[in-house]
Amino acid sequence: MSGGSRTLRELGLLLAALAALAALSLGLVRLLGPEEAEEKEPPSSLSLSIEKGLSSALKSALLAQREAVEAQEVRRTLEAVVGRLLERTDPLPYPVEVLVLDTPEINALSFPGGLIVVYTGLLWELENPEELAAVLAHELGHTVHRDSLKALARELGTTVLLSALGGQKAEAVVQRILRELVGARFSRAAEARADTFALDLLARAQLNPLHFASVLERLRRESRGPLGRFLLYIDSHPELDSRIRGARERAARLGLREKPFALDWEAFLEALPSGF
Amino acid sequence: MNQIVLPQPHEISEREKEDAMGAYLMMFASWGLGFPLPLLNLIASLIYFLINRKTSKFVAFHSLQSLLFHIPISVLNVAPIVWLVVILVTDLSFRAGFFVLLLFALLANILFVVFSLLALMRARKGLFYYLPFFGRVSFGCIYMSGAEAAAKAAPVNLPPEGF
Repeated sequence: MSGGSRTLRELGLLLAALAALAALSLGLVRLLGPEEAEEKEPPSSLSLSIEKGLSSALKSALLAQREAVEAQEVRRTLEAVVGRLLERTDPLPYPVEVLVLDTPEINALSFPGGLIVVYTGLLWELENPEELAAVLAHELGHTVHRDSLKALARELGTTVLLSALGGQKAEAVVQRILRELVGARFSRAAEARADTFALDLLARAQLNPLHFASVLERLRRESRGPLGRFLLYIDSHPELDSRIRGARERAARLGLREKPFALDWEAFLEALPSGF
Repeated sequence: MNQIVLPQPHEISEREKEDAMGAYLMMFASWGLGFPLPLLNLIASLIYFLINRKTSKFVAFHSLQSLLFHIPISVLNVAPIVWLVVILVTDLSFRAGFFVLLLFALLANILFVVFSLLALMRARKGLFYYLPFFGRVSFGCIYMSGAEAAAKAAPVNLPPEGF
């Protein structure tokens, strides 16, 4: 009976039309990109000097809450690691400053104006200077992409941001910005961009991208342990598995010989305060 | 194959035309109502079909076509809602796939409305309108089972099995 075969043909036609519709939807979403759409660019009127001002205000607010680690051994190690990374980075509009704060939280943060904050809790988890380089390279990625400003623009809205930067040195505004930044979640796309940046930079600096994978793996292991505080860092960094896989694949593809740091890691750890 | 005799527009009563149109019209009412719970309009169209099944084949055809047309669109409308609930109770991360599905459902709904309106206007004029695939299946269900339905309506005495 030809009726049956024609019914089937029409069903096929219908499914083909639906497939075309699905492809159209996929194409449109790819084109518009929801991840990108949710990010706001920092306002263009935001001059670099204002960003630097915000950075120093945030720094004093941070130092009012936590103690900075100023030990010479720590300084020297950080300078060596950051120096090697910056050598292979395009020049930044402001100097990069790494601030080590004494707190057991496992976290590293990127602030506006080239300020990078690392908590001692995270440093304790690292096993060698190359892993420190991996962490700093990732945060440097956020700094280069100005992700913290984008997060601020998203969280606070441009008005608050501009009023805060417009010279009204209200302590409360700085505190609010600080709170937002410490708790800020960068978008998945921003994290992926920072990862790519970090892996590229590590390779350029003759460091094995595998270190980045080992840091992430250790943090994931820790997060499954009995200590709930570790969850904090993991929580703000979703899709850990695929990030680890990405770093591993990159390392496998490169297969480069590493030029390790000539630094005494044990001495660095000993110079850190251990009071928690 | 038996010759199927279809009623012509002038042979179909106003009441039938309105009922057939109602099959699609009612969808729009339940469609808006059904967005939070899209399966609601599937149930509504099923009830409408069951009520009108016996009154006239013209009405039954349009009701069934409307019902069948509703099944895929309802499934498609449930999917993003289920996904949304999953997102809300788990990690709150909206993946690109969710937006693809949402857009796909939106486009499909637009097509659904357009074709429903076409069918609705034909039904009002007393015309058979065959949607691709759904029209054929619906017509088959209503008219091919005519002989069996007639047998049921007028029972025939038969000797016992195997006599």
